[in-house]
Amino acid sequence: MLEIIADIKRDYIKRIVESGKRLDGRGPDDYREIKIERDLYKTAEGSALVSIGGTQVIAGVKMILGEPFPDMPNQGVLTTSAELIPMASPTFEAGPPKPPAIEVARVVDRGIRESGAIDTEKLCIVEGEKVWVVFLDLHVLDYDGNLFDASTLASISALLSAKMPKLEDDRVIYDERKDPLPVKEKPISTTYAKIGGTVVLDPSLEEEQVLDARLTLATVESGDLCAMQKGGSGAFTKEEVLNTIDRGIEKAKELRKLLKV
Amino acid sequence: MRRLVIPGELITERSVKLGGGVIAEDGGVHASTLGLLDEREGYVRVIPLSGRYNPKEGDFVIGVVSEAQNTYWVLDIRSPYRSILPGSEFHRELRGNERLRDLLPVGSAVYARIKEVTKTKGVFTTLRWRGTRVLNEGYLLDVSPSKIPRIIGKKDSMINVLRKEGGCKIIAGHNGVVWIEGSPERTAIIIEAIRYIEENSHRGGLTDHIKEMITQKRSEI
Repeated sequence: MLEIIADIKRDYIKRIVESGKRLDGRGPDDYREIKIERDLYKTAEGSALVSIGGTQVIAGVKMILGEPFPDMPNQGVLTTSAELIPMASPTFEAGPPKPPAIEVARVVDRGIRESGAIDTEKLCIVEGEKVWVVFLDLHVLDYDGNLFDASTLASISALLSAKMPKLEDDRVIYDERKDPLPVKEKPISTTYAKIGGTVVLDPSLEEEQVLDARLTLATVESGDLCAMQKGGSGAFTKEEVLNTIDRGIEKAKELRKLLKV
Repeated sequence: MRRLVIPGELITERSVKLGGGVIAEDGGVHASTLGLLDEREGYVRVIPLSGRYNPKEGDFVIGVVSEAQNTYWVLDIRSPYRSILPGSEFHRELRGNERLRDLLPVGSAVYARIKEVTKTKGVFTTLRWRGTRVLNEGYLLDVSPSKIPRIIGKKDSMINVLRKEGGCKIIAGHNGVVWIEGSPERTAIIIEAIRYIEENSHRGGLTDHIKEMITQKRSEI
């Protein structure tokens, strides 16, 4: 279901953003308040609840034994999925994941995969036969804009908090978890929205409803860019993209500090 | 102080006139929603703490055109029911080759009156009424419909303070949409004030507090 935004509201939000301000009083490079809670669920190997303003996302990590892909016989498997349940927003509908949910899962997955966040080789038990399969599940509890950054932050926090279940012969003992999941990188996602001619960080729900285009960047600690996703029907100029990348890498440093326990 | 009731709670076993948010069952009157009990002589109702807007005849609402058909518009009034603005209820007749979607394209905002709510919850609105109009500029703020009476205040006391002290044009629709027209700085102050009213609606002396708050904020810009 698509929500119709009144044209006068759209114009007003554009005017405000173009004048260098935000509806909620933030600057163009400010996040809303970010909160991270780790290890909420005993049944999961790792979990985290992240809120950015009114947006709330839970990430859960579960691990099972499985077979590796034939082209990567010595590497564990990562599977990411996201669900946008109707509780989170009147525009979300029940049923199998639709494109918006798939996009969230893919953007998060790409950030984690391409940064090499999980040391997948350490998840191999018997080469070509048996590896750990890591399921990363995202549940959106409340949607108030910028699902990408909240989801990535929740995912990496959950992975960092995850402990591997004990393996005895071929049996997995979920009650005994000890070693942390091998995580070697902390990818951070920063999402920018282009509204009118201005590019602002962390779009709120209202800003997302009127944006022309958005750009999500995933960066790692060294300052390298490891994934990008562009959305919306509008376009970015080359200068805007380069400028946004510089801003994103700088901002990610601040977010990465939040991950320290 | 009004008492908080939960759904299913027995309110009275006397025979009374029923308002909204209550249901008569098993010889008693029960709350049907979470809210504050408003009990008067021979009349009870529960004022819901939250929830979507339930359209009532005679209410004034702010709606956004979500469809423009040949003979009617569909308005989004943040209610579960489909609300219609018939072409004949626009404040003037069509001229020449005009179509309805030329008068009010999808995305237009209007301040309309609810003319009728049928038994099957068909909602019919009108712009042929004093005060109703098309909103051509400004910002639409979503608030909880249950807080609208507090934002308007007794005999418009609160909304007049907002208008006068804030220096903006303001209309509060019964459906929980508030229209604000003014400079961005002034609008921001009004939004902050309305959010404050929403959170502190149970407190006394709110009107004076809001007056001070707005005066102070405005001296800062």
